[in-house]
Amino acid sequence: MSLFWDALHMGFMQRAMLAGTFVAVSCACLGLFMVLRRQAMIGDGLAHFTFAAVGLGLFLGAAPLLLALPLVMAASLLILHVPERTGLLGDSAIGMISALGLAGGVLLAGLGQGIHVDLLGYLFGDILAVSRMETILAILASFFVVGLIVLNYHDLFALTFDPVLAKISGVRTERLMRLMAVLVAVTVVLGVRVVGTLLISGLLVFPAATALQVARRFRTALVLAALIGAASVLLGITVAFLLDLPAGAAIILLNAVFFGLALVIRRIGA
Amino acid sequence: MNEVIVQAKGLTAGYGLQPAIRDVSFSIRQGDYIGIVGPNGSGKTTLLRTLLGLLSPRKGSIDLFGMSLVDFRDWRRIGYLPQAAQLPFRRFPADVREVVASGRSAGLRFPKRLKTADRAAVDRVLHQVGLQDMARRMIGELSGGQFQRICLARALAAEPDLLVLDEPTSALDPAFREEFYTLLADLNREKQTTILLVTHDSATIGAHASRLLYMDERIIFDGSFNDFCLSPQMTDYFGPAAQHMLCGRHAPPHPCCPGNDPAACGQDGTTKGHAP
Repeated sequence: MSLFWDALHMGFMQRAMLAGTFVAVSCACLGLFMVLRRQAMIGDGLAHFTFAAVGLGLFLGAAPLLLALPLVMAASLLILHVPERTGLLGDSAIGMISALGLAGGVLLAGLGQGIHVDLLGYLFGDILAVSRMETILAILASFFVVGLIVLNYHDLFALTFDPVLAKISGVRTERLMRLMAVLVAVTVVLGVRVVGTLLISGLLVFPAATALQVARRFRTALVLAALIGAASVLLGITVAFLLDLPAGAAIILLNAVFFGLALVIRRIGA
Repeated sequence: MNEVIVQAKGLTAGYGLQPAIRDVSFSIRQGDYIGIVGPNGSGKTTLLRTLLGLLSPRKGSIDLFGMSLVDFRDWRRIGYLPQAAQLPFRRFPADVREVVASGRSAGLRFPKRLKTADRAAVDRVLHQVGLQDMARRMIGELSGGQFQRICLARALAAEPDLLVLDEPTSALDPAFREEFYTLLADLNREKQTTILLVTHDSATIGAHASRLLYMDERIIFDGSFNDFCLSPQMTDYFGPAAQHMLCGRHAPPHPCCPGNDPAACGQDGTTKGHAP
């Protein structure tokens, strides 16, 4: 245990805790809107696309996450607009972007010599290797997400409840949806560093799904999801360090435990 | 003469290759109570969606409250109840009050906070639709009919000048249906709320609305319910028996329908069980 307290004084551990907590809060808040709008798998689709974008960055020798940011934002906007243009349902667009991302990543891993080793690191994440810049970006993104939600709470509630009614009420739904799509993209790219491509959708979906088991009001659900997300990251890193486990997997497994507890609490409450 | 608040000119709109409405022109003045009737697929809902900017017209123009639809921003003046409002999924974390209040809070300008007057207005509409005792119930625990009433309350919450309702009584029980029409009549009379209502229930809307639009891709008839029932044009369009079914006791006398009773009148113009 003293080893853990010592580690807490180390820069890498502080960055992991900070970046992880802030990414988890962003994921949980945005995840609630995604889950309620039946777009829970958007995180999965964008994470797979991030895999390809990071692969491209490694292939070109550029900073992978910085290159991934604009590309994943574009993919997120594509997921938003493809259903409007084609008449397809949203999950088809997510499926297409997801498959395209994986295919691109695999192709680049095959083409680029030796990059598949680095690319594998992004599949499972490496929270202890988070840089100072990535930590600052995670904190800024989180403040932006929470600020956007606080300032537009009523509009976001109306949009989530029924986009058509929200539009007739005067909410600028298209603008708000585009903004949310961009923020989801930024959060997913930063989250890939924390839990990896394969597990990031867990950070988006689990805290929201857990909060929805017990919350009776929208505001409560948002706060609860953010707290669950943050707690899972802090506890997950601690458990992973103490038991020498992969941090990303520990975080997601803890989220599953929280979800189970919420189900039990709801049963008892009923 | 009251102000014209909706002006549609030469509207053609639709979803696929075939337009659902063609060359539709009409105007609505403040305080009008208009029923839109017509068969399935006649373009009633398409017309409403086009007027509300949810569907772009292929041809024609729309002015709302004296402004082109493109420039119109004052959406709080319009309340809308869509056809078959969908219940959100069961665990949606909101109670009845929160949903009704969103009709007033959405689209607010900064600092976007509800004031005491807003909360009082929400209480008032909850009372109007008879849901004051359910204010704290979760939205996912409601029946379809109760949810329809919530959506109506949400549409009324902002105290709109124009209320657009698309088959609003489809999920309502008969007792509340009557209360609902009384509520609309009160709003129309006391607050000069303009009402535009799509329905299949032409006889009921005929008893309440000041004006009836009959649609079948185009506007076939625009006038009062009595004129609708007595119009030779409508008799030609429907045939006398069908007009009896639509108009009930308001229909012109018809030899096949004793006592002008539509229930006794067959679809083909014959008295039930008898040759014409």
